[in-house]
Amino acid sequence: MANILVVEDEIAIADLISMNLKLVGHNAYQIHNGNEVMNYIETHYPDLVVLDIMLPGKDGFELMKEIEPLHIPVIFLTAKETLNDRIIGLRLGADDYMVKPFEVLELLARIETVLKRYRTSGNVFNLDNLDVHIDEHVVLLNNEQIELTTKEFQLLELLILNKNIALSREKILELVWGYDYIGETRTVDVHIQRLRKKLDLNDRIITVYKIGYRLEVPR
Amino acid sequence: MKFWQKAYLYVILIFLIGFDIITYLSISKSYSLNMSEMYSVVENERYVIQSSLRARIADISPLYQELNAENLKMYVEPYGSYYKDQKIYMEVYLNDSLVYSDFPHTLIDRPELQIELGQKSTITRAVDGIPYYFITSYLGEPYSSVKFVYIKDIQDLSSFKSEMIRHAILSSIVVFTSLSVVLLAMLLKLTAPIRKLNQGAEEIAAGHYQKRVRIRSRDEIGELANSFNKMADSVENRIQRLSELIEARQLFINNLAHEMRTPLTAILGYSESLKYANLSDDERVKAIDYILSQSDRMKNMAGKLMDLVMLTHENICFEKIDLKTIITNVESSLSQKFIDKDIKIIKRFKESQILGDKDLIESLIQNIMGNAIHALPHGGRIEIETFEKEKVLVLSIKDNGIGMSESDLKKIFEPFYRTDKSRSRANGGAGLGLALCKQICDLQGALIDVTSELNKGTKFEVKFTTLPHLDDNPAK
Repeated sequence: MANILVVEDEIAIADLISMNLKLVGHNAYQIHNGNEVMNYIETHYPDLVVLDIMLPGKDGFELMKEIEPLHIPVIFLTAKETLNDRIIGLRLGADDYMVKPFEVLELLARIETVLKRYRTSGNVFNLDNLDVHIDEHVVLLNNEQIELTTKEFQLLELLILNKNIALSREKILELVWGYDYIGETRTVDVHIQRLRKKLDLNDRIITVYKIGYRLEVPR
Repeated sequence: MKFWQKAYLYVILIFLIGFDIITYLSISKSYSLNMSEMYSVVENERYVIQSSLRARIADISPLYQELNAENLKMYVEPYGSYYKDQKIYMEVYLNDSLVYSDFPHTLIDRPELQIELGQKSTITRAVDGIPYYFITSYLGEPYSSVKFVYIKDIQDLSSFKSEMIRHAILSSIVVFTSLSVVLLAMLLKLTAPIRKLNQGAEEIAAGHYQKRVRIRSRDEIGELANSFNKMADSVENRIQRLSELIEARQLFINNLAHEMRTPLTAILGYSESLKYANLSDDERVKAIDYILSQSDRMKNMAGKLMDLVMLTHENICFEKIDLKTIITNVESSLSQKFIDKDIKIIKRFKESQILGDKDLIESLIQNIMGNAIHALPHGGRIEIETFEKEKVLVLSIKDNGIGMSESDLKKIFEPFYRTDKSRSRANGGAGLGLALCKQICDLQGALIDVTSELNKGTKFEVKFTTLPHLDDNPAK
């Protein structure tokens, strides 16, 4: 749960990002003009800024220079794809640089990585009677610790990060077991079954027909 | 071999051959003149000696009746010893046997002695490396048994010839070196502009198209340099035009890629969300709406791009059209927007007939009017005028909307340029309308001008040169 500012002049894309951020449990606020950004940041101090570069008013690079002293993490999300622009963006102090068109899952993962880097208190996810201390790798069900294998925990973490978003078996295999894992999507089914059983998540981890699995969380 | 080297070699070669031939000829001539002079001198001398010898013999011989070796030797000796100092030697034979000789060398072969009675022989030959001139003759009646050989040392004369030749070689070397220096300097100076030209050409070939050659001379090379510079000018111009064209095209492609990227990102993202995410009904509708509107935007852009690409001279027809009717058509197609924004239209038509492509002109006016509508606030005003001025038909479309800054004005005809990107994108504009207008005007032989002032309004003026009643009409 973080407050994220989305600075993007294309309303369609700003809405897309906000929608997905809200799905995984963040609060998103949109600004479409570069001149209004600093005012908002100085009054609201968001946890992270997703920043476009080509904006009406002040552009992203200019804004980055002003945001940098405030130590608020920034991820550039832009159509400017040259190496030079990336270097400028990262040199100015951005935490990451993503080029459009982007995949929503990747943006969410990168946002999570940056947030993790800046997080001071422990990151705890709870759902019903389940508490997951993500940073400490501790899972409590009804306040009793449940032992999970590394892969099971990684799978659980992935589902939590992308809550309310379905993940295909192939995607899960790629993200948890790695690109070069020569296995079958069956492996994913087996691990999902185990998680459901161990953590009493039968109603929460749902099978999406023809797509994959999704951890559903009340919104 | 370089030109100057060739020229140098040829000139030097021709000069040396000519010089040497002339020198040789003049030396030979002067030598032979000298020789013949010497011969006549020597002949005279010999004649004097022989005559006086003969006279002396004649004086004395009647006393002795007959010559013999002893008395003959006695007669000759005074002459011999007298002339010996002058390097003149003599031999006397009596009946082919040697009577007297003061010649210092021993002679074995004697070709000069082989003469018939009454004959005379003259032979020049070297004895022990020294050239001698031999004259042999008989003393004549009544002493025809006496053979007199006159021998003169001509060392001096032949050394005169070798002296002459040595002198000629020396002067030839002096002339050769000084000529070489002068010639080389001259050739290098003459060919310097060629080298300069060559250097310039090489630099241009290496890509420095702004390089020019500065040669002041007025000769052929100067003319060549001038032509060369003219050529370089035109090459540079053309290259520059080409690179500008390429740059513009690259910019167009970059812009296009960027413009396509935004709707694509949105369409991809929302489709993904629809497929994977647990969206609420509202969110689903919103996602679908965005997919539709962004697809529409891409369709719009593709259409305009096609128009831009397809607009070429080949598929344009010029016909007599009346701007009045076209403007009325455009007005009715945009009427809903005029009503929505409560826009007032003021029309003043004078002359309004032109030659042109009806569809293109309609598209042109539609684009300009569309821009005016976007720029106008609620209750704005558009003034449309047509009139003829100096063989040009002017169509003026003026609004009192938000106007543009000067920096915007310079760029509005560039593809994908927007004065306010978020607003006109929200209106579904691709940023191609005015680029299209510009291209239409180029094809129609019309000029498009725009003047604008921030917050006061914008005026577009299209000046058509294709008028139906003008004879020098390029379109016909």
